[in-house]
Amino acid sequence: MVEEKVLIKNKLGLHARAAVKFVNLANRFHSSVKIEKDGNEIDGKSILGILTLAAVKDTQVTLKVQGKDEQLALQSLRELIDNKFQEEE
Amino acid sequence: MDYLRLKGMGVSPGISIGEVRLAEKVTFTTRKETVPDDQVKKEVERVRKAFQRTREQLSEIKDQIKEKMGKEHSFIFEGHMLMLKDKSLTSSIENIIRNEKSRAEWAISQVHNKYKNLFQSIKDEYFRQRMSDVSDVLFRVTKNLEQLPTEKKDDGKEKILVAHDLLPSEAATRLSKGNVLGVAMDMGGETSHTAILSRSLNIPAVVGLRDVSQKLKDGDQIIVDGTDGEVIVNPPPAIRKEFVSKQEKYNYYRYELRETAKLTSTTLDRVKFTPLANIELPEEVSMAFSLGAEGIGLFRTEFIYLQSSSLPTEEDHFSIYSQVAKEAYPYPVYIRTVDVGGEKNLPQLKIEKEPNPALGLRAIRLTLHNRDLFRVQLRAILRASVNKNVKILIPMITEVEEIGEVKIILDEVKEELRKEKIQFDENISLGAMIEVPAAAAITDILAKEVDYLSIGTNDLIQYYLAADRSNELVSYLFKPLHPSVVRLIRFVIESAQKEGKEITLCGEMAANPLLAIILLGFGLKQFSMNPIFIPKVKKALRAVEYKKVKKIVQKAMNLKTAQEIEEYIIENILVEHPKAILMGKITS
Repeated sequence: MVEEKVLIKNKLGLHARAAVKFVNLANRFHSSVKIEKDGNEIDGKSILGILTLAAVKDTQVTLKVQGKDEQLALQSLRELIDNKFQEEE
Repeated sequence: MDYLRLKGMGVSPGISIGEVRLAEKVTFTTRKETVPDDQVKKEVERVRKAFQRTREQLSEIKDQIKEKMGKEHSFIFEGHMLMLKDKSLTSSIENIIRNEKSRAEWAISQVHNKYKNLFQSIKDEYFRQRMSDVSDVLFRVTKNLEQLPTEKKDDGKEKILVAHDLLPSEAATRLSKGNVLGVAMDMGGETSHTAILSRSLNIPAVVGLRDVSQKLKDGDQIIVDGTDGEVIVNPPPAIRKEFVSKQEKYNYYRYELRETAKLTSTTLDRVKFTPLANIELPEEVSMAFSLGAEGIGLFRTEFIYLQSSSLPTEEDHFSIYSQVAKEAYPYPVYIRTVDVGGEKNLPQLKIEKEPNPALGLRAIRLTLHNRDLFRVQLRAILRASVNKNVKILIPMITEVEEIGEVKIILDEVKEELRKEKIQFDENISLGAMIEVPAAAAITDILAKEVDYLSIGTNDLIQYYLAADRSNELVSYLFKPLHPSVVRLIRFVIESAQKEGKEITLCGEMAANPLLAIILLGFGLKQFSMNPIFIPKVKKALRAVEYKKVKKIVQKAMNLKTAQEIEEYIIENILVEHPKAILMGKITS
């Protein structure tokens, strides 16, 4: 398993549109994806899980990825977050 | 139901009068029904089929909405589709059916409650509101447990939609049908999906009415006043008449604005002029263009500094400028570098209180004292200029030396960007505001140093007449038609044009039809103002002949007082162009 701490930087946080992008990307990998915030861990392939996480701007989350393509999956998901989900702010 | 008036929150202006169409209230069963062991499998199958049918429906709705209202609004359905595919949702429903041997309806209602509790505990308003999406999806699934389509077909007649609350998908499908005259809702707020959609579709809407949906039934007559946030149930004839005339006035006003915005900006003798908008928020761009603006003549940047307690970053600036530039494209955007100091202080800079702030360290004087602050803003403006529709405007220029200093800094910043291989408009226009009388007096000299000039009449008149217009003891002296002022402005316009430089005027003078006609007479072609005045000014300028106005204004220049000038212009334009005056309240 690989894991990494990431900061949510876009203005709206992991809002609906960003969550859709995240889930769609996570689903492209075989590995399981978990997101942890303040001790709560949710399935990164579940949009409901992500929305109930309520990760607003400047929240720190931990991505935990496990599976044969874990390295690539982690890198891609981190980039999506770092690039603010291609949002302008 | 008797006559009744209810106060709510008007979230989309306008008035509609009509018959009530009550929307079905979203409810989930509260009764647990169990099934025999051998039926459990069948219930699970029912749920799976319902999910499948819902997916098909949503995909269809998504395409329809995308076509009718654009991708922006169809997006929520992508989220809903993902929820339908979410294993945590399907498996928790199926588990309840299996463990409790219950009917599918009960299982869905239990899962709905579980999410309701989860979302309710979220502090953030936006995320808490997402429960409406979960309800939306689960309600649709519940209805699809039955084979038959349960959706009440509406009769297609134009009616007023009354609801307890509208699910996002319901709001989108119902409002896009074109038969909703108005909306009245128990729940909802300014940013609810229904409010946003109503505004973009020009459907009057009042929300937050608490229990309007319980008080009404299909067929009741109601009035929805989205302008004043009121709903009138079964109005007596006199009240109805009052609102019919209010509705006519409002609709005519809207019609006029739209019609005027579409007309060409030319005088009777086909001389082209350009109405531009003064704005300060990116959200105002589309409104400005819908009112007939042909560019953003003044984009104020002060609000960017007032948003937080620290200084804005280059990215903060850039995201706003590029958004405005993109939305306005291909029309120009004149971005004025920050105009603070004086009375508008920036707490972040800890500027000492000055004895005479209006004559102190403000605008370009302040930015030349805080060059790092200036560089950050210039870098962001340059980066937003890639599509070549951005211009830089420097406020409060007093002497030529300041232009020289700005140019040095601008060149340094450009060089930095080139080194970093960041694209920008190499030929970006640099302009100066003429608002200090000293600058006005050397317009011919300044014009040689910049690409264009922009007259800021509010400060210029105040400084020139040495009268603070917010001081009621001397505000009577603040007269835009004081002979000295009109002569000065004429000199500025003519000097800029002699040098072959573009000249714009942004200030309240441009927003007054009579004054705008006089400015046209001086040869001004670019008028920048608060966008709500554009239709009025455009109408006045379209009703006159440039050549005639020029002559009339010329003669008025020898008159002794502001009052004489005003009377002379009104009288003479009335003779030549009765329509410009009939256009009404020209001096208002």
